[in-house]
This record gives sequence, C-alpha cells and structure tokens, in this order.
Amino acid sequence: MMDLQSRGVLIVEDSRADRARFRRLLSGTNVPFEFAWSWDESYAPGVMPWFRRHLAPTVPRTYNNGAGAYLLHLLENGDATVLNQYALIVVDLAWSNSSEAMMREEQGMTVQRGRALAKGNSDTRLQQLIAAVEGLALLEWRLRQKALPPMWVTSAYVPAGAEGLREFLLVRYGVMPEEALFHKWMDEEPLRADLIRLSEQRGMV
Amino acid sequence: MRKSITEHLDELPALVWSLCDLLFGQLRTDFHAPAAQYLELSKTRIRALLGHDTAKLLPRDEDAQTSAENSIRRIQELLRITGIDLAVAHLRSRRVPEQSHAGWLRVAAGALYDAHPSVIDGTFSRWRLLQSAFEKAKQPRGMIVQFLNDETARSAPADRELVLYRSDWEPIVDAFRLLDAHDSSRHQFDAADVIHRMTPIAVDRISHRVGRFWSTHLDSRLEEDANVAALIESTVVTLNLLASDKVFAPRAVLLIPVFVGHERVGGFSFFSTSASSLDANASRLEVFARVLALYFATREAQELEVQSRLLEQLTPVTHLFIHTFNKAFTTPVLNLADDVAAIATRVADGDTDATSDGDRLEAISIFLKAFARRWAGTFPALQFMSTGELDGHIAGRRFLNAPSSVIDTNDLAEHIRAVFALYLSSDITDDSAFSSYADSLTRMDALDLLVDLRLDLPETVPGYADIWLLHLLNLAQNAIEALPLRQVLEKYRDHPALMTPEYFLRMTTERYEDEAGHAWIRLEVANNGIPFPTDIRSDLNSLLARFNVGPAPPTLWEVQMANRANPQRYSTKSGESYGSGLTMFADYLSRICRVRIRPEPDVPAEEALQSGEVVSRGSLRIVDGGVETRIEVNVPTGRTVGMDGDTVTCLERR
Repeated sequence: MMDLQSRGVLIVEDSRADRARFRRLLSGTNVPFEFAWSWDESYAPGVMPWFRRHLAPTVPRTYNNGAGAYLLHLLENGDATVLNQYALIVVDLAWSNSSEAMMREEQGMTVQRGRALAKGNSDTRLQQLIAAVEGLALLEWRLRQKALPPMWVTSAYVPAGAEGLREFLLVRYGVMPEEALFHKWMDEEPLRADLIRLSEQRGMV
Repeated sequence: MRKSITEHLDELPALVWSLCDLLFGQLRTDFHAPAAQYLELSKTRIRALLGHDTAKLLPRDEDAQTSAENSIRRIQELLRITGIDLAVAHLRSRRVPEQSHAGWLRVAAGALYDAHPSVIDGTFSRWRLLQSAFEKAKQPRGMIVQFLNDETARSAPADRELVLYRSDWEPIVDAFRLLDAHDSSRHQFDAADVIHRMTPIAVDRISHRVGRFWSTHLDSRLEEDANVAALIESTVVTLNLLASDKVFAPRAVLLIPVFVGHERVGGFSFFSTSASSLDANASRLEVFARVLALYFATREAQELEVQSRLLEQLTPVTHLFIHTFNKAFTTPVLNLADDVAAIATRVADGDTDATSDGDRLEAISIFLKAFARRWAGTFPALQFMSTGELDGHIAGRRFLNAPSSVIDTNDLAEHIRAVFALYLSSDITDDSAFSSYADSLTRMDALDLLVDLRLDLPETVPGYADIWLLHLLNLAQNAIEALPLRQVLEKYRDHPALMTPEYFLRMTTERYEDEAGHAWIRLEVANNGIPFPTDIRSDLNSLLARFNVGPAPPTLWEVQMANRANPQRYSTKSGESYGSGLTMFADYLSRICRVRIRPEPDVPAEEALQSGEVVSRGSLRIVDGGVETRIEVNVPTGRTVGMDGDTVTCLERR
C-alpha cells in the first residue's frame, strides 16, 4: 500500500501558476507534498535543476539531444534513489516550450495511433517524443525501473477528448490505473479527493 | 483560314484563368465560411467554369458580368464543338481531412447534366469513391476508357486507352441495375456492393482485362477485386448512365488527374460519344483541367493561409497584451481569488493576522488596479495601432501623430513589486531548500529585499503610456526571473529578515540629438544579473535589427516563424520569454517613426503626412554591458523644420 502520509508526494511541475494551484488545492489537507523545484548553482530555478541537483550534480548541463534525453541521461548516470523517498510522484508531461509544442501536436492523435505508438518501441516519433518531452522520459524510466514509486500524470494535454493521447499513456505506461490521468484543471477535484483518500488509507491522519 | 476544333481549344486556358479571377475574386468573407458552406459556394462557380450558365453568381459590376457571361458561353461552345456532352470536376478541398469522402467537391456540367441532373448529382452523393483513378493515379497524364458495343476490328489501343466491350462492361451495368432495383433506399453505395452482385467469372474476366492497364497508370498494384473496384469508381458516372438507359454505347470518358508536385489535388473527367475526339483534344483539355484545378487549389490555400496568419499574427500590441496578461494576470487570478477567500475565512474565524493579511490584500489590490488601468489604456491604443476595418475616421491612414506620454514611475514600480510579491516570489519558496523565505516574500516590499529597483524616467516618450508600461513590466519581469539568486538565498536562508539587496534593476531615460539635429529618447534597462552570452546576444541583436530595416519591416509573425526552427536564439534567460519579450518590444518600437513630409501648397497637412517617407524608426538592442545586462531603446521624438522637408514623429499603423 502507498505510504503517502509518511513519505509524501513529489510534484513535478514547471509552471509557476500550476504549482500555485497545487499549493492552493492541497493547503488545508493533510497531504504532505514537495515540488521537484530547485535553484541551479548559477542560473534560474526549474524542475531539471532539481533532478540534476538530487541525482547527478556533476553531470554537465547540456541539452543537445533534447531535454527528455538529458533527463534520461541524468537518471541513468545518477543516483535515483531519492525518488524512492516519496510514496507517489505526480508528473507534468511537458516542462519547456519545445516539449509543449510537441505535446500540442500529439493531442489530436486517434485511439488507434495512440495504441500503435504505445507498442511501437522502434517508432521514430515515439523516440522523438521521449527525447524531447521531459515527463514522458520520466515515465519511460519508470517503465524500466519497476521499483520506483507510482507516477500519476497531471497535464493540460489529457482532457477526456484527447482519447488517443490518453490511450497511449495508459497502454504504454500501463502500470498506472486510468484514474491516475488528470487534466489540469478540469480534474482538480478528483485529484484532490484521490490524494486525500490515499493519505487517509493508512489511518495516519 | 478557318480554325480547327483543336486550335479553338487553345484559347481555353486564358479564358478559364480570367473567369476564375472574376468568379473567385468576388469571394472574400465567403472563404472564411465553414467548409460545407464554402464548398457549396464553390460548386456553382466551378459549374460556370465548365460552361454552365448560372446567372445568380455573376459579378455585380455590369462590365464584369458581361465579360463573365461571354466567357461562360464560349467555354460551353468550345466543349460542345469538341463533342463533350458532360464535364466533371473532382476537386479535393484542403479544409477537410485528406481521407474524408466529404473533402471531395464533384461538380458536373454540360448537355447530359442539363438533361439528367438528378442522376448525375445522385451518383456523387451516394457513391463512396476512394479507389478511383483520381485517388490513385501514378502520373499526371490522361486516361481514356471506352465503352464499345462489340469487338469490331480496330487498331491496338494506345497506352492510355482502356477499351471495354459490351461483354466486359455489361455484367457491371447489370449489377448496377440490380443494386438500384433492390437497394434503392440505401444512402451509400460502394464498389463492393456491385462486385457482390456479379458472378465470380465476370469479376475474374474484367479484373484480368483491366489489371495491366491499372498497373501502368495507378501507383499501387491492385489485386483482383480491387482492379474491378477501381474501374467501377473511375467510370461510375458512365456506368450509372448506361444502367439507367440515359446513354448508350459507344461512350468514352477522358480522365485527367491533376497533380501539384506529388500532391493529387483532383482531376477532371470529360465524356463523349467519340473517343477519337477526346484523344485528339486531350492535351488541350489537360491544360484546361490543370489551370482550373490549380486556380481552385491555390486560391483556397492562399485564403486559408491568410486566415491562419490573421489568427497567428494579430498585431504586436495584441500579442503583448495576450502574452503579458496570460503570464502575469489571467493565470494567477484564480490563485488570488483563493488568497482572498482564505483571508475572508480567517477574518470570519477571528483568526486573522492584521499585518500580514492586510499586506497581502494591499498587494492584491495594487496588482488588480494596475492591470485594470493597463487594460483600459491598451484597448483604445490597439484600435489606433492596427489597420482594421472598424477604424472609422482613421481608416486608410498609415501614419498618426504620436501622442507624447509620461511614464509614471510610481505606477510602474508598484506594478512590478505587486507582480513579484504575488507571483514571481513562488519561484523561490517552491524550492524546499528556501521555504524559510515564505513569510518575507509575500509582502508588497518583498522585491526590495532582493533587488534595488531604480526607476528614473523623466523624459516623455512617443506612443501610448500603457503599452510602454506593459513592455517595461514584461522586461522587468524577465530580468527578475533571470537573476541568479541562489547564492544570496543560501546566504540569508536562516535569517531572511537580514537580507539586503545585492542586485539592482535600473531604468533610465535621456534625451539627445543626432548629427542631423534630430531628437531622440534613449531608454536603458539594466541589471547586474548574468549578462547575455556573446553568441546569444549577437544572434538576438540580428533578430531585433530586422524590425529596423527598409521601408516595410517584417511582421512579428514573420520574424517568429523564421525563428521557429531555432528558438534558442531567443535567449537562455527565463525560458524563451526574455528574447520573445524583446522581439515584441522591438516590433512596437519600429512603429514609432520619424517621417519626412514635403509640404505642398493646397495639400492638407494630414494628406501630406500620409505620403511622407520614413527616415528612422525606434529600435532596441542588447548592449555589451560587461558584467551587466543592458538593453538600450532608442526612439525618435519631436518635430524638425528643414530645407529638405519637415519631420514629425508618428505611429505607423500596420
């Protein structure tokens, strides 16, 4: 069972406004949470600096092959045990303008295409998406490392109408139950309720 | 000497092009109609282009109407003397998905159409045509399919001819009749329904008969039934007319697929009793078909492009408006509402901290008031800056005298402070290592703990105050976002109250004159954060300079599109926001121009201004500031009187 109350939730969210929304949603609840958000040594803060700082502080800061590929590089070459400190990881899919643009393109995919993409390991587009879209890279890493905590997706790209993209996420990262896909912020009440329910399951509140 | 029929047809392309211009040139807002409505409008026009006399769509202008009527009659005549009794345009609209049946516009005209319109229209509305030659043709070359009565001796058919004898086509026509007799209530037919009603022997025979022909002319190799399906779909009109005894063999149809590059944009079919006439005139008819199809495809694509550009381009001020409001206003408003509600709950519970809650409410109030003022000021300015159709008395004017605006530094400073306290500061406190700053950074003076804000803007500037304020707010916000605060935050983490600012953000203005005696305002925005890396600064400066080149600078949309392939050029600071903000500002500044006027007697000043010449424009660049980030803005100002004409500072409407 998910020990949410003692280990808390890691929220991987780059948008300032959306982090504020999470803060508002969870204030007044007993759900412990933390943002994957950190200041870089010399530059502005972000989600990627958090991963770099906590997983692989010595890996150089270069994104030549795409931000997703860089994140996978950090995960593969660093110490990802920090992620096991959390009972649950809530993942936003795109953390940069370029990955947002790619997700926008994929939002209209058909269910068939979503299913095919999910199963097409050698599909060029799938490889492009993983290399560019940071949240997908993280989910991909989770796929290979079953010991990591469960990951839920909160994204502006997964409204009920984006059936193909939802199908892709559910089929490829099937470790997630369907109810772990939340649209920001049409699904904010269900998300809040699920997090509260999970935190109360251990009777620790 | 009398012209031959073939020579007569030489005039078709020019005739069609002019008529296209007359009939489609009228369409303006109609292009923006929903796809179905637009296709319906196009139908009547294309029918006219095939020689169908359709009075109601003719141009309103009398001369144009006469010219259109003459052209239509001439096309009608030319097709008639060529022996064509039916012409059908099959055009693929780009407004609907490629594989959709609804994306095809199929329009018929000619004597046969006039005699049996419902049979022909019914064919296109009821048949799903996805295997036809127009969907699968390999090359843009015509094909002729002949329906003959019997196997009379004739020379071997040419490569592009498919000859079908009664024994070939009659089983298909019989199947059409069966289908019509037993399934007349059905809304949709396809080739499989026909094949299903044919005997396997007949299907095999016809498949064998047409297989080699299709393998030469279609781009995919078809198997048995598909060979027959392609024949049925490609000649569905003739087969239907034969089945309903509206025509009799011999018949022939010339199929002309039209390509643009490798893209199939549609095709034309011309029907006649005489294959030899179609064959003799095929090359002329191909040119006619291509001209018409290309005109339709190009015009539709052009209009769709304009439409999408209108949506994407907007005016730069609208861009800024949307960008800034989305970034710093609309999104946080939801959170502000929660903030106010939380304070209200604490007040109701008697659990309020008057100082901190009061501070927070004050920040919210300043934030909302400042944005409300920008909103009120920017909207009227937007109307003046863009060349819309609702401009009333300024419609058609390119230059407007620039208003002179004071930049209210108190207003700007309060606005920047409020945005930081309510919005930007969470970038610090969302790092769990710096959550100890949460209490200090929610007050109105939070920014002053980190940044020494120095605003010294005594000079009036040309243009609208609220637009200037929005740009400067955007610049300030991007600069603050890009400050490398980590070390400072580490230093004061345990004692936030002792924090003193180690960074500054400075805005200054000064007035100067250039060598020609023209007055300028220089505005500088500087901070001691990390400067732009040299290569980024150089790239970004060339991008910004594009707005200051030539009599007609590129639009913001054009620059953004050109930069799309390499968004890193925008900057490494605050995502791409910094560079994007600078680009929007540069576009606005380029509209502030010094215009030289040469007054002439009897020409009113306003008219003289409109024919003036731009001698300089406002601009923006990133200066090599050493360890500082320095943005320098230069805008022309004032008026001069000179021998070679007067100059005046204007806003250029685009």
